[in-house]
Amino acid sequence: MNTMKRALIISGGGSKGAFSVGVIKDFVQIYHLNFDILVGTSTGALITPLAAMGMIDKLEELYTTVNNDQIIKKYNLGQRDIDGRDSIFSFEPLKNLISQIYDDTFFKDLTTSGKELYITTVCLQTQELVVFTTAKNPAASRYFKVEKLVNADQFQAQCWHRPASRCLCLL
Amino acid sequence: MKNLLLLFIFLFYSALISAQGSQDPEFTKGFILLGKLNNGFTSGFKSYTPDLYLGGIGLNPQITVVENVLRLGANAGMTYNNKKLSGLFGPMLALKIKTLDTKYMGSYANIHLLAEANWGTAKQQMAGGGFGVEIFKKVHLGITAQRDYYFNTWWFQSFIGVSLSKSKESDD
Repeated sequence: MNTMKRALIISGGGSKGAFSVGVIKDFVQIYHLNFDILVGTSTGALITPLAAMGMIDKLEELYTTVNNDQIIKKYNLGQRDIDGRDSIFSFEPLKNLISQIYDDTFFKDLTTSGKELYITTVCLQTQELVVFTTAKNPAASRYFKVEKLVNADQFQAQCWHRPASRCLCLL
Repeated sequence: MKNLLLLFIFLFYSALISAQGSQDPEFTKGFILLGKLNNGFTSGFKSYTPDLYLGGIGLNPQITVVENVLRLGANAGMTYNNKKLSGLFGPMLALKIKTLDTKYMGSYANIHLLAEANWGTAKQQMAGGGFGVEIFKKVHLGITAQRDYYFNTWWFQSFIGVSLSKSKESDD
C-alpha cells in the first residue's frame, strides 16, 4: 500500500503567482495530479487554499483579471505626512478580496477536505518564522514555530496583517 | 451665461464619468479649511476707473459633495482695494478636472475649476471663476477673475491657500 503523500510548494513573488497558477492548472488538468499537502509563501499562500480545493478556474480568473486598484489603495503623496501614515499605500482592497473569498464556508470545506495546508509567515514582533497549518498533527521544528489555523478569521489574518494576528504573510 | 452653464454641466458630467470605476485620491470625502492670501488688481478697462491694487486674506471651508468631482464651500475674508478695507462673503464651488499622479505611487496634485460669487460690505456684487491647483493636499494656488456688477469693474486675483484642517483618512 502506497502511503506516500504528494506535496505542492508554491513560492512567493506577487503577480508572478500567475505563473504558479498556470503550472498548477497543467498539473491538475493535464497530468491529473492531486496534492495532499500544500505549502505556500506570500502569493503562494494565497494560491494554496484555492488549489487545495481544486478551484483552478477561480485562481485563473483572479490572477488574470485582478488589477492594482483591487490590491492597493493609493493616496495623495502629501496625505501621508498629514495623516501620520507610515506607508504610501494601504492594502484594504486586497484585505476585502481575501475576506470575500476565504470566508467561513470556504474554511470549513477546506478543513474537512483532508488537505494539509501550510502557510509561512513572519512574526512582526520577534521576526520568527511561523507556519500556520490545517494539519491535525503537525510536526514541530526547532527552525520555526507551528500554529494551527482554527477559523476563517484567523486564516484571513495570516494573509492580511492585522494587529491581533501579529504575523504577516509578505507579498 | 447660458453657454457657461452648459460648459459647466458638460465638465461636471465628464468629471463624473471619468471618476467612476477608478481609484482617485483627489477630492476625497471630507471637509477642508483653507486660509487664503489674495493678490491682484481691479480694472474697469475702458472706463475712467484706474487699475487699482487688490489684496486680501480669507477663510475658505469646502466640503466634498460628489467624491472625486465636486466640492462646495464658502468664502469669507477681508479685502483691500481703492484704499479701503471691506468684507467679502459668498459661496463657491470647485470642480476637479484633472488629477496629476505618479504612475505607481499615488497622486500629488489636482487641477480644478473654480466658480464663485461674492458680496462685499462696500456694495460689491461679484461673480466669476478661475482655475486652482491643489498640491499635496496642503497648498492651493490659483487665479480668478470676477466681475463686479455693481461697480462695473473686474477683479483679477491670484491666490495661495494653505490647508488649515487636519486631513482624515477616507472610509475604506
